[in-house]
Amino acid sequence: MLIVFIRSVVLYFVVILSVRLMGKRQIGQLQPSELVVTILVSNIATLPVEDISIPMSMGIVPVLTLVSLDVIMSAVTLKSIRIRRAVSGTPKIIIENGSLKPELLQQLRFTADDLLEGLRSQGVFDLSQVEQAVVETTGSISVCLKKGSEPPTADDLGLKAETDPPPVLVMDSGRVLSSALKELGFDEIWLDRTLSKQKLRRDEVFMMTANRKGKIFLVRRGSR
Amino acid sequence: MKRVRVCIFILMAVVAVSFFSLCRVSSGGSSLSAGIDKALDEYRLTGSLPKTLTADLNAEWEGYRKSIAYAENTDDLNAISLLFCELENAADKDDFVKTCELIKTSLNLLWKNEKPCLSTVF
Repeated sequence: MLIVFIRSVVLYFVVILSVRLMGKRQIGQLQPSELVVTILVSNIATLPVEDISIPMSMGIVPVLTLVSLDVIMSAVTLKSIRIRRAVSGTPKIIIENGSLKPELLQQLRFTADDLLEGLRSQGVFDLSQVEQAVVETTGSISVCLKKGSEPPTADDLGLKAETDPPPVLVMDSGRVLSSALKELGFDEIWLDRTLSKQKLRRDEVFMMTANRKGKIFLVRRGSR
Repeated sequence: MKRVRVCIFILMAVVAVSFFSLCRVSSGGSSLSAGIDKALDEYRLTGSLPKTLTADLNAEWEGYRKSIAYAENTDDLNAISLLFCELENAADKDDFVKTCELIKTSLNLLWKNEKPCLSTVF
C-alpha cells in the first residue's frame, strides 16, 4: 500500500512537470499530436500505480519521452511549414463569401449539426449571417460575420473611444502583489493612501485590481 | 527555446539510462551464467554440491537484482530469486542441474526481453 502511495506522489509530480513542459498552449487548445500525447500520458502514468510489479521507470520514461518529443516536434514545426502541415493539418474554409462548401464538409466528416453546433458556440445562430467560417486545426470553428450582421463598433458609429489600460490584480486575499504594483508604476504608499480613502485596511480587502491610470476595483472581505 | 533544450536533455538522459540498463542486464547476466557454468563444472568434477559457490552466486544475484530492479518487472526478478533459493537447497544432482539450466534460461530471457530487436519492439 505504501508503495502505491509513494508511486502516486512521484507520478503526480512527474505528470505536473510533463504538463508544464508542454507549455501553456497545451492547456487551452489541443493540436492532434498534443491530444495523442495527453491521452497516452494519462494512461501510461497509471500503469505503475496499478501494478507494483511494473517498475516506476516504465511509467516515467515513456511519459518524459512522449512529452519531450512533443515539445521538440512543436519547435520543429515552428521552423518548417511542411512538417507543421503534416503534423497539425491546415485550416479549412467551409463557408466562403457566405456560401457553404458541402463537399469540404463531407471531406472533413462534419455533419450539418456539427457545423451549426460550432457556429452556435461562437454565438452565431443564423447561417445566413456568416461571411466566412474556418475549421481550425484544433477542430474549432472560427467565424467572420457579414458586415451587416456584425454589431456596430465605436468606429462605425463615429464615436471617439478611449482605450482603457487593462486592470491587474494588485491585492489577493489581503496580500499585496508588489511586483504587479511596480509594473503599474505604483508603490505600497499609493496603495495605502488609496485604501485609506475608501476607509479600509489591507486585511479588510479580499481582492483589488488597478490599471495604469489608477482606476481601482476592490472586493471587501465578507462582502456579498 | 529553454524548454526545447530541457526536453533534448531529458531525451538524451533517457537514451543514456536505457543503454546503461541494457549493458547492466547483459554484463550481470553473463557473469551469473558463467558462475553457474563454473558451479556445474565443479559439481561434475567433485561429485558434491558446491554449497559455497551457490551461496556466492546467490549473493551476486541479489546485488544484480537490486541494480536492475528499476528497469525489470518485479515478478520476473522474484521468479529468478526463487530459482536461486532452490539452487542453494538442491537435494540431488538432477535437481541441481535442472535448476542451473532454468536460471541460465531465465537470465537469457531477461536479456533477450531487454535487447531491442524486431520481435521485442513490435
